[in-house]
Amino acid sequence: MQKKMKNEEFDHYIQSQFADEAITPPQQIEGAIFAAMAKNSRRKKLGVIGTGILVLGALAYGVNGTMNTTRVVTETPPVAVPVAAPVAMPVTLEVLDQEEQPIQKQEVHDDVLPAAAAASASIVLEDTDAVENARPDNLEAVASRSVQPVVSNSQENSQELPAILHETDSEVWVMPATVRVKE
Amino acid sequence: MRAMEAADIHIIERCKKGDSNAQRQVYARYSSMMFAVAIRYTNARVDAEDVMQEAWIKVFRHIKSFSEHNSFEGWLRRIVVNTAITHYRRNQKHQFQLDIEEVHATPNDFEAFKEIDFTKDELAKAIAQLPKGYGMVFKLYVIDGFKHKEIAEQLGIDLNTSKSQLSRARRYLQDVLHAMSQRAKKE
Repeated sequence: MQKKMKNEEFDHYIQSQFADEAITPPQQIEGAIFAAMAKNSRRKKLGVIGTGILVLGALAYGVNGTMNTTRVVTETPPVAVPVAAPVAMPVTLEVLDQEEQPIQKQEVHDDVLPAAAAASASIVLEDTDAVENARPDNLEAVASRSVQPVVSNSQENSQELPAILHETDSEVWVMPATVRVKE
Repeated sequence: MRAMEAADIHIIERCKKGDSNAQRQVYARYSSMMFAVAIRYTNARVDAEDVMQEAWIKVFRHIKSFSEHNSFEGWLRRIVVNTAITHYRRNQKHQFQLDIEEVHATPNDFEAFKEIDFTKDELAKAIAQLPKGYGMVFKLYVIDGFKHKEIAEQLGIDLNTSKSQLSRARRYLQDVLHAMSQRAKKE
């Protein structure tokens, strides 16, 4: 019996034949699929760990960088110190001239480099103070210094200033200017 | 039926969480269907195994994107078909493509075969005889329900080419089936 089929009928016939198609796959495919899956997940985990390490490293680097920056900032203020240093200069030189101790010779070298003198002068000031303290003549002055706090240094300088000016007379050159800058 | 669907949803949810036992259950349930589709498109067991493996890895990798409102089997079928198409296109350049006119003449338009009593294997063998490109269009359109636009996009061909290839494939297949039924009748 011949049967003329239309496209739709033919298509439907073919489709219905394949509706519940099933062919059992070989066993080894399952193993291969799940092995590949496990490999992928392991790779993914390693990726996550690697990313974590990178992030932590970047954070540590960033924090370290920030700390370095703050350290630089805190280190900059001492640049202003030389401004205060000239206060000590005349005193030092004067005392050294008077005392003629071995330390004085080092200070003479500093004179050659005026810029460096400011920095070294402040150090010398402490030394000369010590020398000065050892002198019985200045015991009163030393006592007044030790009693007064650090803040009183400027006052002390300003109080002593006229006396020094009287003594040296011709060496008016440094003292007034320096004292005003410090205040 | 309802209970089956609920069980399916539960297993799929577990798969989404990466539960390997659930993945194996899904595999056990649908691997035969997937493999049959893969064989239908590749016409070779070795190639079908490659397609099958690739498709299942895609399934588990993208299962989070599956919505429970859709048919899970339909979703799986789509994935294996798309993987087979990718496989076909990858190998297409290495294969010699015969035009259907060169393969066989089609004397009777829509003159169908005598009796519709072919087994699935016989039909599969007849479809496998179609030239590759025509066979792909026929299987995608007739068996897997793709539209011509989708077929054209997937295979990288023109829309009209898809339509004409389907028409020629139908005629060729009907002719082959007719010949088969004649041969069976003689025997």
